[in-house]
Order: sequence, then C-alpha cells, then structure tokens
Amino acid sequence: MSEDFPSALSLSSTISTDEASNGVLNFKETELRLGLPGSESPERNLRNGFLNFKDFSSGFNEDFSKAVDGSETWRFCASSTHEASTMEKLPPSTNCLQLKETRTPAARDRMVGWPPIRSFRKNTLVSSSAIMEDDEGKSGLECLYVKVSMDGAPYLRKVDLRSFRNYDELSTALKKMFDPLASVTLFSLQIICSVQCCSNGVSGHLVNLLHVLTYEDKEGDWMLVGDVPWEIFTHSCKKLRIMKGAEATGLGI
Amino acid sequence: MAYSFPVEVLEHIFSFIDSDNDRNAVSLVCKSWYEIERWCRRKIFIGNCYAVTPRIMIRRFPELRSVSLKGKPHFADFNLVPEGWGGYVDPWVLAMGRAYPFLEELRLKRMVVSDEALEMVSKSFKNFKVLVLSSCEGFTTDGLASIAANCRNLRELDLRESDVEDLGGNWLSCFPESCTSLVSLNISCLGSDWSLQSLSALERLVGRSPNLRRLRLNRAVPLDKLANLLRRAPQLVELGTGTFSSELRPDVFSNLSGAFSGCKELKALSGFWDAVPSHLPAVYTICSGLTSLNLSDANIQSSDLVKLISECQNLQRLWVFDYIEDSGLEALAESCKNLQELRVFPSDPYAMEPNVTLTEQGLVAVSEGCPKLESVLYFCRQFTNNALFTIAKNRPNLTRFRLCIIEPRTPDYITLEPLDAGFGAIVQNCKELRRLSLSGLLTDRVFEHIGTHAKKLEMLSIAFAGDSDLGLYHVLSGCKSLRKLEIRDCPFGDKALLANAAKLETMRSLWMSSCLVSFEACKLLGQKMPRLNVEVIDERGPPDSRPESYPVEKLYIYRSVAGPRLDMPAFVWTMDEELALRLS
Repeated sequence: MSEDFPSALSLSSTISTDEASNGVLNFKETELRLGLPGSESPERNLRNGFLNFKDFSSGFNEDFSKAVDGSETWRFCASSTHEASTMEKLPPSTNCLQLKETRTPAARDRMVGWPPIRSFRKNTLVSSSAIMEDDEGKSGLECLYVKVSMDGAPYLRKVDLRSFRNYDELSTALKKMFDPLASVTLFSLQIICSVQCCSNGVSGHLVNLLHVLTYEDKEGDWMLVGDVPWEIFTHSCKKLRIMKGAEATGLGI
Repeated sequence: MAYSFPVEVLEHIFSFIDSDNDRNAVSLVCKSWYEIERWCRRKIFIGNCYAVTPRIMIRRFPELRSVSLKGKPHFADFNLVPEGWGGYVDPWVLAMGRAYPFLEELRLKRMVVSDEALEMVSKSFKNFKVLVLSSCEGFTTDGLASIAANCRNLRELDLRESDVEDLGGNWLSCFPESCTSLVSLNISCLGSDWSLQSLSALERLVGRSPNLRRLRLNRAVPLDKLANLLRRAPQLVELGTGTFSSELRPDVFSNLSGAFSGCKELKALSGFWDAVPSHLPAVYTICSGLTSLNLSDANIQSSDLVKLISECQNLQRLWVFDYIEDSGLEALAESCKNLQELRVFPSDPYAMEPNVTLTEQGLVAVSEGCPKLESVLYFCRQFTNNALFTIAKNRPNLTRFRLCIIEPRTPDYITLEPLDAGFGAIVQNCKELRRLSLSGLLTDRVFEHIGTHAKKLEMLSIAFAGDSDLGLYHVLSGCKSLRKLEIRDCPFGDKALLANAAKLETMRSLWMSSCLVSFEACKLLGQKMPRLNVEVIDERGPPDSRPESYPVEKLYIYRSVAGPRLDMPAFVWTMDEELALRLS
C-alpha cells in the first residue's frame, strides 16, 4: 500500500441543468478540495501495526480547513465554537430539501423498514388481528411478509404482500428483485415470452426456459399466481416460488 | 525483559482475565505476552464476520473454545438489507471443524446458517455445549435434529428470533434418552402447529433435564400442556409460555395456578400469545419474584396489564405493547421502583390515528418514578422538547435511549419546533449514554449537540433527520467512542464522509441508505482506504450504469483486515483499487 497520499482529493461535480431538474444533487460547479488524513501531515505513524489516531486528527483538521479555503459554499472549522457563525454563511440548503422532497414517496405508502419493528413482531400482530377480524370487521392485515424463492437463484427474498395493490405491482417488484439487470427477461406471471425466445415463436420445448410464479396456500397446495382475486390471494398466500416452466406441469400451463 | 515469569505462571494469571479489551491490552505489552496470550485465549467475539477471515482467526488463536460471530448489519432487522447480501457461517464452520475439535460454544447473530453447517457442527465438536442462533436464518428443523441427535453434552440451544423453516416438532425426538444435560432451551420462534407426538417428546425431554433453568416455548404448546411441563421443571428460572388461550375452564385455571406456584425460582416470564386476561391471575403467585416480564407478544389491554404489573414489585425489565397507555405507565412508575429497562412497542404502527393513549407523558412518569431506569425503547406518536428535558433531568443515568416517533419528521407538537434541544439535553445530561436512536423533526443542530456531548456514545441510529453534511460531520468528528453508525433517509453526502475517512477505521461499521453519497465518493473512499471495505448495495443495477454523481442506494462501510469479500451477490460491489481501475 502506498504511503503517499495525493496532496488532496478533489471531488468536483458539474451537473447539468437537466439533471438538476430531475431533482438530483446540485453542486453548482463548486470545485471542492478535501484532504484525506495524512495528505499533508507527517507520514502515517504505524506502531505495532496499529494506527495512531491522534496523529491523524490534528493533521487532517488543519489540512481540511486549508483545503476548503476559497470554496464558495463550505467552510468548516475544526473547533465547534465557530460552527454557529459559519453556518449563517452557508446558503440555505435548498438543494438538499429539494432532493428530500422528491425522495419522499408520492403517496403516503409504507416505507421499507419504517417504523423500525422486527418482522416477527409484525407477524404476531397480523395473526392476532386476523383472529379479531371476524368480530370487529377490521379491514385486514397490516403487513404480511412472505418468502420468495426462485429456482436456480441461490438466495431467498421476502416481500410484504400488503405493499402491493394488485398482481401487476407484485410482478414488477419481483422482476426487479430477481432480475435487476433485466439482461435476460424470463419473467411474467402466467406464461412468459422472453425477448430471445420470441424471435422463434414460442414452442413446446421453450416452456422449459420460462419461469412461472406460484404460491403455496394455507392448505399447503401449490397454485399458479393470478387465478384468484388479489385480496383472496393475499389472505391465503404463505410462500411464493418462481418455478422453472418445466416443473410447473400440473398447475395448468 | 531480563527476568520475567515463567510461561506457565503468566498463562495462569491470564486465565483470570476474561474481558476482551483486557486480553487485547495484554497482547500488546510485548511479543512474548502476545504469544502466550494467543495460545491461552479461549473465547473470542467477532462483531463483524467480514472484518477478519476464519484463517486469520485460527492462525492467531489456535485453542479457542468459544466463538461469537455477527453477520448482517443491524438494519437487516428492518428488511433494509436485501436478502442474499451475505453473512454465511458455513465457511467458518468448515474451518473451525478442522481447527478446533474442542470447540464448545458457538454464538451467531444475524447470520445465514444452513442445515449442512448445523450437521457439521454436531459432528465436528465432540464436546459441543452451547448453540445460540440469534436472528439467524437459512436453516430448517432438520438442522436442529442433527444437533439434538449428535451433541451428547448439549447445554444450551437458543434460537432467539431466528427465522427457521419449521417442518414440525419431530426433531425433538432426536434427543437421545441419555441426554440430560440441557440447561437452556429457547424455541419460541418456532411454529404453531405441532403434533401430539412432538409435544410429548418435549415433555419427556423437559422431564429428564434436571438442570433446565431456561425454557422458552413456541406457540404450538397449548395452555393445558403448560402445567405438566411446569410440574416437571419446578427449578425453572426463566419461562416463555406457549399459547396462553384456551376455553375458560376452572380446572385448567387451578391446575395452571398450582403449577406456577411450584416454580419458586422463576424470575423471568415471556410468551403469552393470545393471552386471555382471565387466565393471567394464574401467574400471580410468582409475580413478586419476577425481575423480567415480556408481554410484547400479548394483546392484553391496559387494565389487565396494570393488574398484572402491580403484582410485580421487583420488576427490573418490562417489554410491553402500547396498550399499557400513559395511565398504565403511571401505575408502573408507582409500583416498580427497581425498573431498569422499559420497552414499549406499537400495537398498530400503520394506523393514521393513534389507537391508544400513549404519549410522552407515560415515559416522563416512568422517568420520574423509577430511579434505576437506564434503558429505554419507546414507540409513540408525539413528543415535546420539554418532555425530553424532564426525562434528561430525571434520569442522568440513562445508558440506552431509543425513541421512535412513528411519523418521520414530527416536530414538538406544542411548539412545532424541531426536537434538537430535547435530544441535546439527553446527550448533555446523560453522560454515560452508549446507545441512542433519534426520531422526530431534527436539524443539523441536534448533531452539533451530539458531537459536542455524547463522548461515550457507541451506537447511533438516525433516520429522516438533518439538513446537510454538517450534521454527519459533527457526529463523525465529535463522537469519540462511536463504533456503529446507521443512517437512513438523511441528506448526508460526500463531503462529511470523505473528510472523516480516518474515523471510519476506528469504528466497526457505517450504514447509509437513501442518503446522498455519490458513487464517485464511494470509489474514492474505497481506493484510498484499503483497510475499509466500502460496499455499494444497489438493486437498480451496476453503479457505473448511472452518472458518477448519482447517490448510491445503500452503502455499508466497515473496517477489515480480510480485504474485499468474495461471496458478494450481484447487487453488491466492493470499492477498491481493482474496481476503480476496471471501471475507469
């Protein structure tokens, strides 16, 4: 590992107005020079293989305030007493706010992982409210995590069925999850027509290349997803499985 | 040193040194102490399984008996870490199987464990005693069957909150009749549908385990079986019941009540699924001895909760739903003067309107009435700076404070101001604070307070807070003891991160998701800091398919002497020199 850091790391971003209008981070052509620890301080002090942090902190603070001098927007000082006055010099962080707003989901849908409650706790509530549902006519389960597996993929995923409103949304989300590169489209809820396969027309043996979405219901039977109304599906689905077409015989393909 | 103690003497002295920090200090004194210490270290805790490799561990510590490993970052508990990210224990088990034939204890948290790994554990370690799988996943009850069948001296099997594929309770029959060594059995995470055979296997197992002190049952164990189990294990110190509902029959009730009164050493109670309030008095006889009560699986309402809690004057820990309400917390503050830890969970977190009257008043009352309160986890819908001032003033002895106001960015509901000053008071007054989670409307100011005062803070969780990089800068430059920092949905970007790159090597890990750190900055960091693994987790596809200035979806940075890991899935990229060259 090289002991020589460059004299400063520069991160200059010039962003076009197009990108700005998309709500992306907007650093109006500020060239920012940031010094990494050790860049202008005495060479890294390694004793017994352990870094001496003290050498760093003094070194890089000086370096940092030097490095940021002359910048239009940013001016840090090492000591916190200066913070208050310097903050006034900062332009209002409209860019950050703007970005925040575009990042807030349009509707008040549920965010992943918020509030921060463990799934097992949620599923407890779910089961209890399912019991109470009949008595109180409550509108239903708040969230329902089910496992999703895909034949040939090494990893299991989990989805919250309550965060989708219909089969389309579920299908889109699953597709993103298991096929993020969208390099080979082998996916749809019923029968697939992949881009490559389609060129030759769909023939019998091509079914083997296609994937089909199935689910295990409360009785332990495996069914094709999409046959029953959405609400009934969410209440009875225990697990999802994306099967290879060849294995899905007997499910009505 | 010309004259030093013989090796045996030093070893003997070191054998009294248990704490990891002390052991680490000992190993730094000189080369010979390093050598002696490493041969006699028996226990190791690895807070991040990717910070080191099995080979490095084995090379340095050839005689371990107890290994603890943690895998995924904490935010995995809330589904923020896509599945398949990593945390596999199999390579560790493989390596340890060869190197540590005398291994006795394995404790894993947030790791992916396969049935094969469990089988390997059961067959590789002849004297295996303790298996704790905390929030783990990837295995089925078949793996447990191997453990049951092959670990002759098993003392502890604890599956706390793991996600186990439950194929039924038959695995319990795999414990040989000769197995009588169990001290602790926690299967509360398992399913709710077991056959009678499984239940009787459980009964027999409990019956032949005279040393059983901790038993946490799963939902499948019905209430009418509980009495039998208790009569076979009156020496229990901790009990997690199974399902706590059944037909209201007087004989069930009196049988249960009798069984409980036989358990004179019971200190901790949990379970209570589907609890029917009329059955709760069955536990009253042992309430005065209870120090820990976990009702977070029970839908019991306030008045019944209060009745139960007021029987438990010696309570030190209470976990409960917000059904307890402010009034119940006031009653708690009156009766339980020894309370140290309180956790209040939301019963209906997604409702737009509050379903119960649980506000800041409840927590203020407890902070006033319970002088030993030091650990708080509180979910609610409203708070004020004044309430936080009061709590801080009342309880300077707080060590863990996690407040979750359910709606993000909620201001002080009376003044409509941010809660900066309130949390500022907490960090200023509670000088021993080690863990803090923030919520509500917060500006960069709160981070200034935290950076200035929270000198003992080790873990900080931030969500939907701050205005700019200044916030992150304050935390990274000010919090001397910070080990774990996890951030989501905050406008923190490149500048603060790059300026504090060295700080990251003093911490275990940093998690940032839905923030504003650009791919370019990640690359830079990864390139320049070879002892950090900078992982970009992005399910939208390769980061170089977007402009470099675009923020990455998720970022996980941790110090490591192992270099980039080799088991990453398609949606994780480690930033290092190689990658930078490839992508340039």
